Amino acid sequence: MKLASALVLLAPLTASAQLALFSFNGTTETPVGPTYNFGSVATGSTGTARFRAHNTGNSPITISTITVSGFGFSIAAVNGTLPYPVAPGNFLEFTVQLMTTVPATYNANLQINTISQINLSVILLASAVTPPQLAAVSGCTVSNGAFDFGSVQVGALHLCNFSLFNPTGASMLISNISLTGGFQFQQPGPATPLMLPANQGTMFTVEITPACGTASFSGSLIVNSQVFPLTGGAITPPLPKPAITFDSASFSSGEQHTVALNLPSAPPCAAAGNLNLAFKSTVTGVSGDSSIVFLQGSSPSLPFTVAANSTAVLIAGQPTAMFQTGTTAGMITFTVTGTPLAADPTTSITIPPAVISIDLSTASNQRAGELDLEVAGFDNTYSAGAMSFTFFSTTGAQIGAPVTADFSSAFETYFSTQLAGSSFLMRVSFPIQGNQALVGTVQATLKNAAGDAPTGTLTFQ
Amino acid sequence: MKFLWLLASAASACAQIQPPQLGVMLAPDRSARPVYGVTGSVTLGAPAATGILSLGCSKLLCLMKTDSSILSPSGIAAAPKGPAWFSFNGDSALVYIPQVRQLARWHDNQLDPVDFDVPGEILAVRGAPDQITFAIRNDAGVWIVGPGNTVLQSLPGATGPVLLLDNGGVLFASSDALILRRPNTSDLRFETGPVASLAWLGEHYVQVGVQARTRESNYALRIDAGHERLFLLPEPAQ
Repeated sequence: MKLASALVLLAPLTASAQLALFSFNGTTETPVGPTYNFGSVATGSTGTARFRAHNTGNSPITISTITVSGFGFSIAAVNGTLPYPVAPGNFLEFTVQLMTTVPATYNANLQINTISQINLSVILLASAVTPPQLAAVSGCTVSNGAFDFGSVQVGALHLCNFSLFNPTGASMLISNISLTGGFQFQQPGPATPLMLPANQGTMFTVEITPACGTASFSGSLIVNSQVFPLTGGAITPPLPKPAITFDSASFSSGEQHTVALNLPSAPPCAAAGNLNLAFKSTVTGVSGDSSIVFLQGSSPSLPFTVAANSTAVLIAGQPTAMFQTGTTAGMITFTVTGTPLAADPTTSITIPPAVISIDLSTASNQRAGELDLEVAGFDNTYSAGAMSFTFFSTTGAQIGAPVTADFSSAFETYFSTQLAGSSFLMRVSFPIQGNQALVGTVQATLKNAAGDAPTGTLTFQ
Repeated sequence: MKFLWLLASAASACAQIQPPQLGVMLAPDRSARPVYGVTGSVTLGAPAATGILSLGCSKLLCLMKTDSSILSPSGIAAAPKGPAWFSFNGDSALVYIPQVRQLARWHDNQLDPVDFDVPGEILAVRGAPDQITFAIRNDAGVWIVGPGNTVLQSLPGATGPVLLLDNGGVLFASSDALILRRPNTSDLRFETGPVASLAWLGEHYVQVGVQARTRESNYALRIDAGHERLFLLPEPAQ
């Protein structure tokens, strides 16, 4: 327990030739006279005082010994090894400690000697008094000599009610009640100076709101010269379960959609994590579709952030993220990772099997002896192959029966080499004899496990 | 039927199947990347070229402008500095380089200068060398002018880039949207935000660069009639 140096007696500077003693409170040096008063020390506690022995002369001195004689006093520390040379203008710092056991007046002689017989002595005075009794009424407990506020959620207010009791038969002056370490008095706090009548007490409340990013907190409650440690643990609450929402209630292959994360309530602390998507194909033999990604960075995972006390979640810096549904039937599952969550928000969307989607289809008669069809599209069932073609003359008359074909083997071979879904460009050529310019149009139908997909009427050009 | 055609049977028809390619996009890292897939579901291939300032692709030709040259799949030709606008016509193209205000015709891997006398800032070109149409911006607005500086059309509200389409239509940007104007002057409007660039991605697609605050996004606009659709292009994987 360090005592304020304010109690230093206003006495002439204690000096012996070129040796002068100062008390030091950590920031300010105060000259020490023939006596130094520790002031009142609570019985059973320890008081300390830091001193500095200055060389105020023009030649070096060497301090050989520092001793203190008196019940309860001791030299707690010397910032150097004795004998210790002190150059002109320099000093040697040391600490005197007083341990009180019973209410009484304490005194001692502090002696500083140098090898050149330039010595200095100071009388140390102190009185041990029965301290007020501090107790936690509610909201915290005593643990390992400290008042423990327990585990407190960051951003949440936690209170501890204290009583301060005068156990003596005489009035007791409480000159100071203060806090350190982020603790505050619940208003109105205790007013000081406070005169506690004999066997009477007062109550006050200390509050703490742990800040985000802290795992524990500590501080002190100071009553007169007594310091009572205050401690506690901070708990960062998990992020409220975000809702993973989409711009649509139904999904198909070959689409782009946006996804957002919506928080039901604002978290007290900022958080960051990742929004991920994973695809599971329902097509036998097809394990994935690399086109099913977030378009930003062509990635299956994007970082998200949420600011403290905000429900706005930014995914890669944007309110929403866009993803592709790819060209394979299956299920896309969205997960949130990287931060503790109040509940699992995992959400899945289903991409159902569908007939072949025809993106582009053309017919050409520009090659002699050949009629060419081009069809670009995708088959999210990976079962394409069977198809039929009905040709019409330039006058609109159907030419013969529809031509059926089965390109299943070609599609199987093609799909087996593809990782980015089922999109395909198919070129079909039909050899022809005669005046191919008289063939006007064709209607093709592409079949898969989900049904038939007609191209519509394609005009040969 | 009196026709003498002999249509092939199913046994003689043959099919070739390959990944569909929409075209080539200019990625934010200035690489040219093939775009595979179908409308609304695409992936990017590995860079075909890097250090590209601008590019344009049609069904038959793909041209890329570097700082000092124009690249095609089969050749290279020196060219003035700066990006270029392209307009394709079969296996040839008109190339306009706005930084030096030069117009040229690309054919057989060479550039032939083309004379022109059009006042104002040229935003786009289209057509054969003897019948070029320009989109220009002057103090009075944005205009489409034909040979002899004949005004063909005005584009009120056009504040951004312009692309003249092969079918006589025009694609232009207002302050916050992209407008596809058909030859019959019917408009399709896409709420894109501020458009920074328009370039031919492929035969049926235009790459639309959108600059929103600090973020640049690239869209593809499918422009063939009846299939118009705007969709986001993926960013290259990190």
